Amino acid sequence: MKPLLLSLLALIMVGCSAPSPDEFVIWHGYRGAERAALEEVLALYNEQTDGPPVRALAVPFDAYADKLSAALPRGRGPDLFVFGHDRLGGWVEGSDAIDPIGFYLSEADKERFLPNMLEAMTYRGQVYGLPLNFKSIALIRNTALAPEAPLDTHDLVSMAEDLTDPDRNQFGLAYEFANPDMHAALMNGFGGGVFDDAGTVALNRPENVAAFDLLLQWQNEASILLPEPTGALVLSVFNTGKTPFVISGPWFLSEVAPEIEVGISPLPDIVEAGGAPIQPWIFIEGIFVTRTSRDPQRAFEIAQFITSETGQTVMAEMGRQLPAATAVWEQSSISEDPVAAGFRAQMEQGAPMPNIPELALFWSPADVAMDQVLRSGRAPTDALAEAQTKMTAAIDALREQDR
Amino acid sequence: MTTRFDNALGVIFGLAAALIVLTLSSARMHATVEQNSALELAYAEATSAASAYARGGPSVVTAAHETAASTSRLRIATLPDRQLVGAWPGTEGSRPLTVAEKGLFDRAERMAAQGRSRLDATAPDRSVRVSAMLPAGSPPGIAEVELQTPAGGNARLWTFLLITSALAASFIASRMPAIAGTQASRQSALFSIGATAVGGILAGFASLSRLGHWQTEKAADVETGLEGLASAYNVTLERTNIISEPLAGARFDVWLAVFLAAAIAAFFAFGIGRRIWETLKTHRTAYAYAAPAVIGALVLVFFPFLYGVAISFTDTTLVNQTDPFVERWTGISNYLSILGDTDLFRRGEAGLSINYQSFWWTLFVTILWTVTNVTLGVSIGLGLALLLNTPGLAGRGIYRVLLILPWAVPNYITALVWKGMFHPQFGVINQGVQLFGFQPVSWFDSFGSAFLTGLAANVWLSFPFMMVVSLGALQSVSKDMYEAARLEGASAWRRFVDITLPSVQPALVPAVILSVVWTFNMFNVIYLVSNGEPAGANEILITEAYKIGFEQYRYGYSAAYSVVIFAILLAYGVFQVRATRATEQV
Repeated sequence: MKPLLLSLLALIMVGCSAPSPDEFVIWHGYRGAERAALEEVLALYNEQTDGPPVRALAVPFDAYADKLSAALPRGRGPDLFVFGHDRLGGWVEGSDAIDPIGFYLSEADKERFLPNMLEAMTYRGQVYGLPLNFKSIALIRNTALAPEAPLDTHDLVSMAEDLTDPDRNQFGLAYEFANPDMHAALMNGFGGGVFDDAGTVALNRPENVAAFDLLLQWQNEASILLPEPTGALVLSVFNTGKTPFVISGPWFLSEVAPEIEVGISPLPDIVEAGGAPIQPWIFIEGIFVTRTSRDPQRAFEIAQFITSETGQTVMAEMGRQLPAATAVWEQSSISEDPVAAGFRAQMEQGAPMPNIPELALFWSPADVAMDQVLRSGRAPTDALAEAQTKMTAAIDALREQDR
Repeated sequence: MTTRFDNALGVIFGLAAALIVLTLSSARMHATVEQNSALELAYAEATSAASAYARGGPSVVTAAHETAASTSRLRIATLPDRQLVGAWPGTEGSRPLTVAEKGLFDRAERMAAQGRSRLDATAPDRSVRVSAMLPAGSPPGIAEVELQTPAGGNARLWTFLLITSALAASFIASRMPAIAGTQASRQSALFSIGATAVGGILAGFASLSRLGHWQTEKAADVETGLEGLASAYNVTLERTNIISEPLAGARFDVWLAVFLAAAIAAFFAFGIGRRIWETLKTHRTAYAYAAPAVIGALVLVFFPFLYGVAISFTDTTLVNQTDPFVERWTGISNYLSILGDTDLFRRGEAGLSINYQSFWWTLFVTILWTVTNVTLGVSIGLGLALLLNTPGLAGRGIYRVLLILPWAVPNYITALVWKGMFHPQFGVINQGVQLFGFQPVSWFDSFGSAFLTGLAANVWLSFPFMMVVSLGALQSVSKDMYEAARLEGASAWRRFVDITLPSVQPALVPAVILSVVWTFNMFNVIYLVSNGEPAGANEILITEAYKIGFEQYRYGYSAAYSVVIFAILLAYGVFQVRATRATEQV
């Protein structure tokens, strides 16, 4: 009996082993080249400095957010972690586990990033992280089919119409248009969006209805859209040369067939909205310092190093990231890369995805509304009004505290 | 002799528990008194700081920060350039803030930002309550006094000591056969429970509540004083974060101790502990073999289940999930709000409409869904089984394999295939409808047609099981009975009702019971095919619970919903067991 009990005990003890006190740990969800790049940057840092070394821990991406949400409030998290800015508000409100870094920031620090970057790291007037890189969707074209990028939506539609032939499975524009994430670009472009300037839900605005009308026109009248698009389908039609235009992000490029030559350009201006550009949501990845870090100031210095020109150059060249630091863009290897330049041009006319926690309650009503309008032919006004009611009710239910 | 000994033991138990509760509450009282003096101190500090601030000029943020009940400090810092202007106690001059004082800066920055916690609009912020907004253009001067109840360190230590000493004493007692599990020890247990409870109520509750009242008044005094100061010196006041009910935590601790003491006393004095130990010793090999399964069940089944039940009594959401459990506790209000949502009809702009979010509507849909599915599944399954059971049927094996196929395909794939078939534009069903010259139907736009989509998918999934079960039972029915019935001139219908049905019933009843439970909680089909459309009208209980929990992030409410589902199925299970027993006895 005793050996069994002992081995059980031993098993439990192994499961609870404490982290070593002599090192700083940074969590990230990277794989492949990005992971190697981050480890390279940390190796550089460890070489340059004395004191406890920094170690990177790769967390499988699917479980990453949940793992952080579980570990941060209980003080079992890392010293620093890399994550997108979209969950910032949720973490600040929900667990208060991220340390604001405004105290350490000098005026020079505030000016060393591209526009929109530090804003995304700011929640309710306090800066919580240093921006590392950005991702944005843009117009990706097959230059053999479409040598020139369209400047406005009329251009886009007429070019796409010429290349649409449903009988031969050819479609002028392929993107996951039923995805609220993508559709937000049109809503923002018309001056609408999920929230108004005060952060209140405002889905049922005429601007958002207009965005739906344009999408419906593309789908039903111009018929340029690839129907029922999924990520795999979009990739497949692009790789087989059946579509000239795709709207997607940098992640799409790694899967494009080598024989296809791509061009990246900002999404066109919307003629129907008086020439305002389509404004996709930009997703900015930052480095955050946790409140339970053994030395927040040192942790901030590590974040400073990773987001410095040296660090971000490695992340950009080795990890193929689009750097957030302005200085890196002055290097010819980055600025003359047509892909990077294309996405940067798009980023400058995009809008950071809202980082307020209410956004988490957007997806479910939005999915339903997209489905109703695009598949069941429901009027956009009604579908948006229903989504507005649902989302407001969900927020009110969260706010309601029976005390 | 033994009775007297046991009674003595009971008295000792009771007295010990009462003593512990007394000590616990006196420790609390001491802490409270200390806090009261700290409050007065903080008030004095705030006064001197505010007057110093008024002399020094505008544009500074003042923050008094209290870390423990007995110590208090006060520092004044400027927001944009990170200078410490003054500190009390101590008369330091102006100097830059150190890293150790970063908290002061963060606090000031947070206060200067507009707005309160976005989602947690009414609850006090854990670290600061930002209620006083700075008037536009005015100097951001903020005075803050924060006091925190010490985190019950003493109470927890005492609870731990109580448990260990009771465990040790009871273990020794349980080793003595004379005093465990006897009538006398039961009396002593009752005595100790009684003494503990009385001790807890008298010593703890009464004195604590009086003290609590006193402290609440004191806190109000300080708040009023600070408000007066703020207007006198033109300081914008961050409302003081004084815990107005400082002893709620203490009360909880005392009750916890009382409950634990009583439970432990009962556990051992009633001889339960001794009997468990005896059984474990006698059958140790069996228990050793069962141990992994028991541990697995405890960790993977019982713990999550009990945790879910516990959460259902709280208002846990995405926002407050890290708050202490006591603060989230709301009693049965979740259940009241679920079961009390009886407004089935709503009067809107478009006349009377059904409130699809009501629990009762969802329950009605779930029952309708279960009944129609099981009825159709059983009828089709039985019908096909009868056809397949035709003597001399050619290619029976092929038919059987084909008919079992729907069952063999994973149900989420089947569900997605059906969803695709009901697509208004490209779905094969609407294509077929158009082929016959009808208008295409928007399947997911009305309750009836959306319900049909789920029904079709689920019947498709469930009839093979019923068919297999019935077919097995049919094949064991003796041919002689049909022969005899035919000779007596019984019609085909009579033969079916009087011979076939009674023969397959023993096999079919358990299958129906199972099928009811499966269908009641058939998450995949509803979620994937109609997704509760239109407007949540087609939601069944389990998908509704999922959406509340993981799309609206109201974990407490969702847990309560799940407990209600569990209760319904438990009631159904008990009823079914009774009903089946009745049929078996026939």
